[in-house]
Amino acid sequence: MKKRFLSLLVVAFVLFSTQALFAEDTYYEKGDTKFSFTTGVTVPLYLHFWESTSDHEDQWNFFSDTNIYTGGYGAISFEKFYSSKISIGGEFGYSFNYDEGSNLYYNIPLMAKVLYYPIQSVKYDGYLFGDLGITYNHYTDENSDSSQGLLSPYISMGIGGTYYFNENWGLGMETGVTFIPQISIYDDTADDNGTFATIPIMLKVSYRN
Amino acid sequence: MKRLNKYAILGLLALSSTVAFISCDSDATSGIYSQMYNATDSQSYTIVQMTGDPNKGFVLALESDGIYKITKNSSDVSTPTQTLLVKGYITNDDDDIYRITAIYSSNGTDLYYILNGSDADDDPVLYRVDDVDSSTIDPDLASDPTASGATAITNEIGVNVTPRGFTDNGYLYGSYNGTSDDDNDNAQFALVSMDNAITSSNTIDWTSDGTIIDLNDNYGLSSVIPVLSTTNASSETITGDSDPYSTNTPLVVSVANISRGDSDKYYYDYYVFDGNLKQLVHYATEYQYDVASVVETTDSTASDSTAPDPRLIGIFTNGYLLSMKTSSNTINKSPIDDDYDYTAGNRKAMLLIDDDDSSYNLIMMNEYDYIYYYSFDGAYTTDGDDFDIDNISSGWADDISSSDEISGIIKTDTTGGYLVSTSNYGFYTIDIDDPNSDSSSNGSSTEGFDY
Repeated sequence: MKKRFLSLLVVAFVLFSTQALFAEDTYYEKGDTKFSFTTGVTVPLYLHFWESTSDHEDQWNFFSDTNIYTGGYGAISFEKFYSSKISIGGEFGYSFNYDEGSNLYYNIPLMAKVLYYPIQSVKYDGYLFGDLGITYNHYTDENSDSSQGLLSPYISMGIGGTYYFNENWGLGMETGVTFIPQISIYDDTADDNGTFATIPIMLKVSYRN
Repeated sequence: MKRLNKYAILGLLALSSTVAFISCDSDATSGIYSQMYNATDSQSYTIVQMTGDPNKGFVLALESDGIYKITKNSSDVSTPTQTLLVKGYITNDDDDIYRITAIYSSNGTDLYYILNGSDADDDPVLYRVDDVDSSTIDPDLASDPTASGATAITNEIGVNVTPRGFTDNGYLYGSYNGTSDDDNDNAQFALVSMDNAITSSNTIDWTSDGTIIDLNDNYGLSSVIPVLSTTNASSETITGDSDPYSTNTPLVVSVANISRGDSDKYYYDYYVFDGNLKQLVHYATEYQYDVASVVETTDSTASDSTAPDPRLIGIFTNGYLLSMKTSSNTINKSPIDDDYDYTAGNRKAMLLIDDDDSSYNLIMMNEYDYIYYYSFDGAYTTDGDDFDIDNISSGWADDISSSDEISGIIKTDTTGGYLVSTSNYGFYTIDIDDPNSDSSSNGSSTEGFDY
């Protein structure tokens, strides 16, 4: 079901993009800005450890096999157009997931964004985006009363589209995939390095100016 | 201003990339993802005990989910089937949950189990089911256990005794506190044959029907591990006529002791008794680990064949090998693998199997996800004091679903073992001689406990 949904989104976006490539009109201009508020769910895609240890094997675990439940995400973002189709900005957010042991995992990402708008008009726009940043991860193990945090890279990419009710305010959707690699340089935790990936499905309220 | 914005954004990009790649670990104890990956609801399905002759079928209890009987198809030992005895939470009319604390079956057809009351002050009750194969037990044991096919043996099992469980060879044991309310009197270990318990009239007189063993000033009995013969484990399972306390079945008792040293720290003492309940070894230790599994072995250096020196080797739950020399009242410990971090993760079950008195297999199971095995040769040194191991091989047991929560283990014979995983209700067998072969693991979430 998730794969079908994603496939439909990609196909729809490619169709719109193809149409847009032959369109000369653009709505955005260099210097335009956009503020957005984003909220939605994050579906665990996979958890992959890079090394086998006594606690885990080097293998891929997808969706429910990650032992992590679907979580939530909220963020504010800003972007500024540096051409009619490309904008650069930043995003600050908060994401959380509970695992099957009711332990809370959350991360607070701060990232730079690059967006490409092949589709744009007064009423709607469509875009590809890529995010790169850092995130503070935190996990609390309720069973052992232990908790810890670490910084790690944050990489996200995907597609989105927004419908505008008027010249400024719009409501859109966004999805893609987010990768959070755990890269520890310390010997005693390096064996636990791995990647946690999620599929964000977001609602986005935007104000453009 | 535009130039400033441009460089600020580019700077943020560069900073993010650089800092992110190096990463900063604020607490270098264990990886976050490792914790996340291991985190499952370990409280829901805890195997209390598995018992019975595995060749005829055995019974297991899940702490909060009921009692099950597993039988094997005669034509294919790798595809067990299950007979449901009791399913669901065991509750009374007030929805108080009763916990199954111990279960015992000598042959897979009779069954004893202890239910603890919902209140900590309630006396536990011992129940018996005479023939589980033809039983018409109501799967809902909820409101009235005695009306559901089980017979209440006694409702006073807890008088002066906190029952702890059954040994594999048919004894009910617990910690005995005499007639005093003083916790320190809880130092005594009580043992009673199930044969005696059955003939008692609605109560167990531990002092006359059973045996009370003074364990010095210790209290807080942790576990009792009867050591089965290494040559024929399945036939060693009690048949009713056999004497479970032959000299070939030494009894290992571990006791948690908080009466000495730091009051908030647990110490474990280890006792070994022979077939006549004569104490062979008492070893006081600071190890905070239980004895997971013990096998009996022979000492080729024993000088007097008419009075063999009982030798046991075992495994602590932290993965250390222990060798118990009964004549000198000592327990030595050593890691099997110096490079292995035995303290990582929680070892829910460990099974040590003696192949032929010189080669051994150890299967360790993490609390959540993994099965790891060791094979090694072992022998006592010529002076008989130390137990040296050599030719170690190790690895993962393949084909066990990583998402399964592994909760229990039972030995079938000297060359095989059952592993049980409850999170996906899968049931696995493993060939200890070739634990990571593709054909050795026959688990499936659709077999076994597929309910």
